[in-house]
Amino acid sequence: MPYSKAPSAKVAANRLAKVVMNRAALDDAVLGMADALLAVGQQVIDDAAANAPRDPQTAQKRGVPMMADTGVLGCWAAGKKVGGGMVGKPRVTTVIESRSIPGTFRSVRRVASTPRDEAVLFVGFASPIAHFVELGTVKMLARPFLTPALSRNLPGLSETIEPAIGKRVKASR
Amino acid sequence: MTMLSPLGAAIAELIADSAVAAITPRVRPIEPAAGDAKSAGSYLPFVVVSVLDAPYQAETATSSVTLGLRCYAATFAAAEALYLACAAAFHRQGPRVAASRLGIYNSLVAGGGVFDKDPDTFQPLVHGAVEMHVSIQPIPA
Repeated sequence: MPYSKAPSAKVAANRLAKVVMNRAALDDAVLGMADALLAVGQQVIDDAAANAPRDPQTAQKRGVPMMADTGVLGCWAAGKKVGGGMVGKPRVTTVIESRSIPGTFRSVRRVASTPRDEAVLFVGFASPIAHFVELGTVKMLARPFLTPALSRNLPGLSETIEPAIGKRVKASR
Repeated sequence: MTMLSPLGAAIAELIADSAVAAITPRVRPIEPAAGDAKSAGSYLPFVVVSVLDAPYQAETATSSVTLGLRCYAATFAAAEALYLACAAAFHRQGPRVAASRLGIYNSLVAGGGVFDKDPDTFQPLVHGAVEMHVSIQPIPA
């Protein structure tokens, strides 16, 4: 995901107001789940950032933030954005089996779907070099930092979701 | 305890796959071999498989390993064709035992198909990620 220009104060305020409005329209259980997802997403970003390679000199020379500091997340619930600083939904690619020629596959690129009956969390790093660091190049070995962070933090997801939903429901009574 | 390499098994499966072999015999672990990465005009098709995550799971007989695929070719279309051939070799493949006796319970293309250019050679490539659920010990013959 390339760097985007920082939004103006008015645009940022509008986005925030929209998120607040979206949250007001959701029930406590869904909001609790979204809160838990956001908390886990932040854990993933913190974990990944702690293990990502850092090169402050190059970042300073180029006038850009360090790759490890560009973690971003976004959470959608009931099809609406309910938290996180991610601007827009990311594009995803899936491999599907061809119906006409069984055994062959094709890739489909589309904007990630956020179904109305699901809470969806996206976690990523906005730096244009993040995926090269994660996956490697012809001259640089892969130095994965996000995939290990995901597998370290996702197993604890249910332990975070249950108390978060309980907290929300309790507060609304 | 003998630990087996899922990376080695994945490389062996790709080399043995007829669709991949029809495009390129160059399937490399971790990094390209010398001579694979060429400059514009003389790009060669090749695949690099790296390990993105292989967590140690205590007290289980299996491990979930995430492998990264980088499929390079002369054009984006050729890189996608190579990626899809690699994806078909792994996507929704059921239980099997590798030549090394590593048990592979299933494998799945977890993501990818993303077009890119290598930042050094500008060669077109397609990224992918494969998840494999494997045994941590050899399967007896």
